[in-house]
Amino acid sequence: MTDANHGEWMDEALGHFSALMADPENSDAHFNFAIWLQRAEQWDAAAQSFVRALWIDPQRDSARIGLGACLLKMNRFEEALATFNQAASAPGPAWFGKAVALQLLHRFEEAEAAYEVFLASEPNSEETLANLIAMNAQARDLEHVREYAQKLLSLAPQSTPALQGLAMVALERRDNHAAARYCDRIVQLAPDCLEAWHNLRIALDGILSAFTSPTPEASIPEGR
Amino acid sequence: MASPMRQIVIPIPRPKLLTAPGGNPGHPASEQPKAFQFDVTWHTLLAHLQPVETSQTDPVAVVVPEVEIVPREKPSRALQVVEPPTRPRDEEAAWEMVVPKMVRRPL
Repeated sequence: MTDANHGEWMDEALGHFSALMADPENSDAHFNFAIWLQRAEQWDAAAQSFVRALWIDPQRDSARIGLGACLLKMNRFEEALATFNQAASAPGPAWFGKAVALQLLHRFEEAEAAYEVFLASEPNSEETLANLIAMNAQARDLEHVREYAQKLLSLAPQSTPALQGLAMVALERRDNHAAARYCDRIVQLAPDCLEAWHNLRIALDGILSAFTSPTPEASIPEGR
Repeated sequence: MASPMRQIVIPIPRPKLLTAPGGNPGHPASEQPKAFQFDVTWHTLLAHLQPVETSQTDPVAVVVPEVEIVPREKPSRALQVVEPPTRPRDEEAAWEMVVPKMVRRPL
C-alpha cells in the first residue's frame, strides 16, 4: 500500500470512528466501521461491530451477511450457517453464504441445493460454479465436475478452476489428448501450478507411449 | 496490507490422488497424475457489502451565489499607447552636490 493510499485508509477509519463516537446508537456507523475492520482483516472486531449494528437494527440483513462472512473466515462454520439462515428469506447473497458454510461443513447435497437457489437468481455467478467444481472434485463426482466446469468455461474461457476440473476428468478417464490440452492451457494461465506441469508431462508421455508401444512387425513379402 | 479479497479463500483437502494405474504403460507406478488444488471462496458476499451514508454525515448544502455575467463594455476610444517613463542614463544626468551648511548659533 502506498503512503497516499495508507493516508486515505486512515482518514476513512478516522471518519468511521468519529461517526461512531458521535452517535454510539447509530447502526449505520457500526455497520460502516465493521466493513472497514473487515477490509483491514480484523475479523473478530468486525464481527463484533456487525453484531452491534444488528443489535440496534435487527432487520439489517447486510450486517448479517457481513457477520457470516467473518465467521466463515474464522472457521466458525456452524455459527456462520445459523447467521445466513436468519437472512436467507429471499434468493440472494445469504443463500450463497449458506451454501459455502454447508460446503465447508461437508454437507454437500444441501450445499449444492443452496448453490442452485443462488444460481437461479444469478446464473452467471462464476464463483458459485468454481465452488461447485471444488465440491464435486472433493466428492469425486466426475460428471458434475465436467458439467460445472464446461458451464464456467463458457462464461470465462480463462478460468483456471474450470480448466483444472476438465483436466482432472480427462486424466481420470485416461484421455491423454484432452488432459494435455487442458493442462497446457493451465500452465499458460497459471505457470506456478506445479500439478498442471506434472500432469502435462504425464499426459504427453502417455500420448508418446501409444506411438512407441511394441506392435507386431509387418511381414515383408519376399520378392519373387 | 494485503488485499482482503485474497484472504477469502479456504483451500479444501485435495481430492484423492487421481487413479490411473496402468494408464500410461511403460511408466513406473510413482508417475501418477497429481490432484489439483481447489479452493472455496466467497468474494460474492463482500461484493454486496458497501458502506452506507450515515445520518451523522449528511453533506452540508453548499450555497453558490448566483453571479450575473455581464459582458464588459469595450472602451469607446482607441487605447493610447503611453510609453513608460524612461530613467535617464547616468552619464546624461546632471548631478549637484549639496553640502549642508553648518549653522552656528550665536554664543
